[in-house]
Amino acid sequence: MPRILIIEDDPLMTRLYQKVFRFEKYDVDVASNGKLGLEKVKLEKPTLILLDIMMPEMNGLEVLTKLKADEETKKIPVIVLTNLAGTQDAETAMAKGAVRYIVKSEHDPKEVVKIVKEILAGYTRDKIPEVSKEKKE
Amino acid sequence: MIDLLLSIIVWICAVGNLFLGFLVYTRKKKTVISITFASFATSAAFWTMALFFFEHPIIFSSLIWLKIVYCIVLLMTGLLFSFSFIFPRKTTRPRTLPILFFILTAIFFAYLISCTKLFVANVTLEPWGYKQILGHAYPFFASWATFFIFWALYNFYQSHKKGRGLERAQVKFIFLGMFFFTLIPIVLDAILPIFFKNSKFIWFSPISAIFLVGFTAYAIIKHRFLDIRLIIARSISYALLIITFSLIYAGGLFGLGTLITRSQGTTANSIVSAVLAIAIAFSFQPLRRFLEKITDKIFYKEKYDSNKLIYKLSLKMAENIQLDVLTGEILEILRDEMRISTASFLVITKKGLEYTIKDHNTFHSQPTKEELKLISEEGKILIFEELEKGKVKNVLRKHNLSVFTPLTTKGKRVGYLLLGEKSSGDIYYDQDIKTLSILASQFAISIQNAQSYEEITKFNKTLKQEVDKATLNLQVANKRLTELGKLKDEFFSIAAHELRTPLTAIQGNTSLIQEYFGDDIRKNKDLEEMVEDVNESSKRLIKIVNDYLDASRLEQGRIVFKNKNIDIKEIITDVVAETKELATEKNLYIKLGEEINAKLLQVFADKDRVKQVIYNLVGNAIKYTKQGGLTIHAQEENGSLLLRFEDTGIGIDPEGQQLLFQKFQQVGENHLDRKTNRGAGIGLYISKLLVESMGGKIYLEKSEVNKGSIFTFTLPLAKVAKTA
Repeated sequence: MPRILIIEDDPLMTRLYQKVFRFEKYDVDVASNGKLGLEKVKLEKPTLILLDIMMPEMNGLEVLTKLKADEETKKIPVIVLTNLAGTQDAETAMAKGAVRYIVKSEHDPKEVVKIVKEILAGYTRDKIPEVSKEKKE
Repeated sequence: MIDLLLSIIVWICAVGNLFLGFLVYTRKKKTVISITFASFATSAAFWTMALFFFEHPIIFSSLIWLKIVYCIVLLMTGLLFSFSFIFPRKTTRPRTLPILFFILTAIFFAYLISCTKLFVANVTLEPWGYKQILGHAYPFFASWATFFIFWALYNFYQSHKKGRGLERAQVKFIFLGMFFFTLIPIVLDAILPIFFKNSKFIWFSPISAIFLVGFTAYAIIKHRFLDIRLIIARSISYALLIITFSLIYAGGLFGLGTLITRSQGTTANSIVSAVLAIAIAFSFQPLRRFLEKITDKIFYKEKYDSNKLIYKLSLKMAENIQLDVLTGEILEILRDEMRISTASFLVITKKGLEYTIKDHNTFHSQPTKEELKLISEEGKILIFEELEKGKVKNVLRKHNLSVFTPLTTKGKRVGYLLLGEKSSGDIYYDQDIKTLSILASQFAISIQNAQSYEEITKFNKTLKQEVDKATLNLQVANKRLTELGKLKDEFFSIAAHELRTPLTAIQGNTSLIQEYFGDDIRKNKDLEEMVEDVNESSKRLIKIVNDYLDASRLEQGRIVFKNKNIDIKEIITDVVAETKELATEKNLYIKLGEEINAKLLQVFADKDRVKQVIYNLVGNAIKYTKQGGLTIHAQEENGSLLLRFEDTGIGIDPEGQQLLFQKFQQVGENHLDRKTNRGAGIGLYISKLLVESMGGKIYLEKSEVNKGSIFTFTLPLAKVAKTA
């Protein structure tokens, strides 16, 4: 069962994505800021991370940098969540190793799930098994 | 020989005084002053003659002549004494008693002179001439006469001190004349005989009359004493004329006579006379004019040419429009030409009375408003010398004014011209007054013009100030508006951002409800419809917010265009596919022009943005078309690709066409049925910004109400890859 970690400060959005992934039978975990998010990544070892960029204290880009710098976490695929004004940041995030960016207002939650599924399918072929194995162990 | 010389001098004095008395007496205006002076001068003449006859007796004996002399002296002293009280004008000094006293004593002396030997004891014939033996009463008489003479001189002195201008000058010369005229006889006839027992020179005393004649003549020429200058001037010119013609006639007669008379006799004489008469007739006028000119030059030195003066002033008035310059220039010319000591304009302005003064040193004082009202009541030129005694004259005297000219034009008083006395002390003549009255109306007009000009200038100034102020206000308002505009844009941008998250949540949740609980909802029709409406509303809201954000980011140039060579057909096909459903719903067709299928059409632009524009235009066409449909054409033209969207819609009226591409304008929105989505009124505006950002143009090619519209936009054609 893929485990999704949502790092997002807005509870409305968090709950929305939490629901749709739950409906789609994913394990969902949430963190309301970057710091908590990083802790949870280490603790829970998620299959995929949905990372919001605009967050107080530690923003998504910093979190991403830390994730990619850490051997333990750098292989976890990260999808960056953003709004229309943040496309520039999203491009930066892509350069830093994010797999995809999603403009929140432009995609239905169902579509987000679809995207995640596709990515996981790709990853499954190459990398996910490793992660899964580790998890199993 | 000395006797002869003295006799001539004495007779000149006598004739001079007689002539003076005659002239003064015959002048037009007879006043007590002129009569008294004439009598005085005449008696002086008689005194002189009587003294001559005392020394060269005829008819009477010397003794009788001497008695006549003294009687005349009584008369002269009396006349001099009374004259001192009334010249130049009647003094306030009490004069009845002194004159009465004088007359009584004079009668007493007259009695002594004529009937006793107490005054003149006897006359003896000495080798040098007749000698009078003085009686015991003579010293009393001498002191009595001296006393009254000094009284008279004192009176003149007082008048001189209090007098002004012309009068003062006149009194000065009359005083000097009288002083010498009486001083010499006092010495010769009183001091010498009484203290030195020498009455030898008594008969010589009339020589003093020279001073009287001389000074009076000077007063006449220079200060127009008793107004007899013209008579004197003309008399002299005619005397010279007569003398000249007498000489010509006599000379001619003598010269021609010696040549012709011997042989021709009386006939020749009459020819000579006729020739001379003709010569005189022809030369009379030119000669008279010549002599008059010469005498006038002597008697009227300061005369000027009125026409020239008026012309000169007219030029100045035409030249100047500024009030102070204008009045200043006029005053300067007046002062120079008329030789006026002080002159000023008093101009009535809105603020009150304003002075223009040309010479501050000798400026006359300013009449008060009440005084001005009094003296300008009649609106006539006032000449000090001609005024009757009274308040008006007193005002002029008080302020040293000789001529007061009210300036009036079209019944409106614009000011006054105030003139002091002439620098020569002369009075103002008819010529001056005539010139001034002609000029007065011109002055009035030009002063009024100058004032109007000043008002206009002032008005212009205030107008400019008002305009400047208004402009400044506008600029401030404009600046504020710009700031407000910025604030508004900022507000929209922030608001839009803030709206997006909750909107996304609404939208997301509704879609989740429909997706995962669809079966549950469908059990309740109302619930299903309500959820559907929430879904629609939030979609629309998101679209509006996105559009606003798009617009504001486009305005601020914050959107980066990723221009590439792109295939236009692909985009059009995409859009048509996406809108097919909408069109089919309304039974509308969407056709593509043949050229789109026939040829590869590539433009250099941002694919997503081009799609956005096309989507907008197609969407609008479907929205505003009730039947028929839309045809999309494409054609290349001047390096651009023209995309034309021709619909069979409701069309746009000319008024609407004006507003079409403006922000927040919705044209034809009221033609839509309730079901159709309403936009933010910003779609075409965004399209315009997008197209222009990509180097194209968008416009309404043609539109007819109820027939349809053609919207067209252009994009630059694809850049041809350099084939290496």
